Amino acid sequence: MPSSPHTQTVQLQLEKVPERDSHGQRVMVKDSAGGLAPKLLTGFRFAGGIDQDRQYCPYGYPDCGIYVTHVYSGSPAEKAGLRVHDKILQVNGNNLAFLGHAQVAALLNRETQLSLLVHRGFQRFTTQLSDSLGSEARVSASVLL
Amino acid sequence: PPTDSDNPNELGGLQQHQQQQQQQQQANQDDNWGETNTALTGATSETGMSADEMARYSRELDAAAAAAASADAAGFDCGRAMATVLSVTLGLAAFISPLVMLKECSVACEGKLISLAFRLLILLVATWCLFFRRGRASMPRVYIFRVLILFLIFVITFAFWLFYGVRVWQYQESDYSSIVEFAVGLTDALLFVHYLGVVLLEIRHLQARYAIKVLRSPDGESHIYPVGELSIQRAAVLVLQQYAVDFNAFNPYLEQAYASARNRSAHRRSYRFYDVDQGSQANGSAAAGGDNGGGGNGGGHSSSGRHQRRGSAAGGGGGGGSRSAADRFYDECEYERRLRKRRARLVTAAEEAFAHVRRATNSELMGPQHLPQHMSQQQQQPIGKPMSAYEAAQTVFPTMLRALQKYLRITKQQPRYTTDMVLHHLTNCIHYGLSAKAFIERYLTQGPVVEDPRAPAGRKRQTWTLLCDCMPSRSLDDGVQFCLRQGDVSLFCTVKRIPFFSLGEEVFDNKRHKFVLRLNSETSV
Repeated sequence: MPSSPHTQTVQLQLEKVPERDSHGQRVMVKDSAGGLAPKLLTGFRFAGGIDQDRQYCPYGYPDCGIYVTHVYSGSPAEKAGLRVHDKILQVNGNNLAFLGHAQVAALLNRETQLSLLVHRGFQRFTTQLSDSLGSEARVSASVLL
Repeated sequence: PPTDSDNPNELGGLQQHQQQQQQQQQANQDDNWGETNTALTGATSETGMSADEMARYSRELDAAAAAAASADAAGFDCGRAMATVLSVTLGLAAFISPLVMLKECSVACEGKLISLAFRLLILLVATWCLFFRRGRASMPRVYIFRVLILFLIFVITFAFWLFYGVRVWQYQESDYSSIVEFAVGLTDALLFVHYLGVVLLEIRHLQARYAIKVLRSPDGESHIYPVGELSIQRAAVLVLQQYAVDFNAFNPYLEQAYASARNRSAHRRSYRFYDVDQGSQANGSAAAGGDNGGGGNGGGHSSSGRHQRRGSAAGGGGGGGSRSAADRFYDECEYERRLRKRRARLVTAAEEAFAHVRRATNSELMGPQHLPQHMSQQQQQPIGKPMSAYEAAQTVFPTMLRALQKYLRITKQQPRYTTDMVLHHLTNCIHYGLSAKAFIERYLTQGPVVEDPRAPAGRKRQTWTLLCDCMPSRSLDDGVQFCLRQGDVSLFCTVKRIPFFSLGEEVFDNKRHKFVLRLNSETSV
């Protein structure tokens, strides 16, 4: 049994950054009011949601919460300290526990400044299985501790 | 086909007196009812062979035996002998020709003579290796390639002798080295003909071109074999060779188990219908309910209970003639179940029997004065003195005799094995130190045809009939069908062409050959 890894719950502040195209101009999209607004980037990818089947996730997350699967380099998310496999518990005080994937996406896109409550502790570790015949098999298991 | 009365050595006959309590199996009880019994099927053994079936079988066997005997009585098959004699004579004449052409030697041509000698030696060895083998089969039509080779040999020998006669005898050719070269030329030609023979007779049919599907008629077992370019008769020989090894032995009693069991037990179980007019079967719906299912053996209680149930259920339905699909399905399930139960008992009994026997250690062989040292191993003390494998087999055989007998009964194999054969097999297994499962493997399945100890028409020689729409010397082609028949067994063969495969290549480019993980829901924010 390995020693318990470092788990923590952190609060992160995130400032979104406007997206720029290849010429350096801001990319504008239509907003809900009908006018044009700059498109803002946060810089990470997430998976999960109460309506998703977590068996289709290759990382083996233990529940249907919102997990960060990729953080783009040089993005506000990276600067804020967000890491891969972080579980986002709250966004600006909104609890994500019972939201579906699309709703979480809409929520994250709506806000300009994000205050994330993040739980960090997902770790992959390896165990050794040795059966009575003496052969050993290495099994890689992903466990949230 | 034997009955119990004919062959007292059989397992069934030996243990017959033990079976008295299985009333529904013993047809002997019919003899007690002799004065009122006018049963139509005179079944006298549990294998279900009635008198008219026996007559039919014996007629067929006699016909097959007569056909084989006529070939054997003369000592050899005339057609085969003629072909062999002709080819041997021709080959010998061609072989000796170079030697006869030579006269006394001189120093200048010794090199050529030595090479001639070696070529003749190689030709001799190659011919012996290739052509002097026991034939596998005799075929109805002429074997075209063999005739071609023989014709070529004849033409070459004739041509060479013609030139020799004209040049050397008539014109008195005196240059000896040219005569030696002439003889060397003949030897070369014969060697090349031998090469042609190898390619035509042995190599051409090795590459698979066609697939022959072989279907056996009475029970529907089928296998498929790849063959090369062959004539139909040669393909038939190949099919028969594979049939001997791959197919399960055909047991005619298995086929009759359903039909006769229903009719027989219909007679015994319910009250009988006696029709004064001819040709009555077990008709009447009351008789239709009696069916033993499967092998018609087994414990009486369950089957009698089933009889009562089935009688009421099937009574209103069809008579003894047709059988519904539900009946067949139920019968087969029951048969499978009972077969598995008996097989489990057989395996257990065999393992117990083999557990009693083990190889004697050196100390046991030496004598009883070493016994007190082994007192601590109580469970491994030997019982009695060391004995031979046969005696050991005889001692442990009765413990599994009953289980083996019942299993053979349910798979309808008991006419195949006598007590002596089983004892001999058991002796072999003990002698070589085999396990119980190796011993009973022979009895668990019907076994391949080549191992069937009661194969018709003997083991050395079998007579099959080839039925074909076109001439059997024609070569195989897609869609050709032919049939091989021997007695009850028919092998229907269909030829299909194996398609031409066009292989392409796909190359891995390591820079582009990358993978990404797939998540069902992932959004970029």
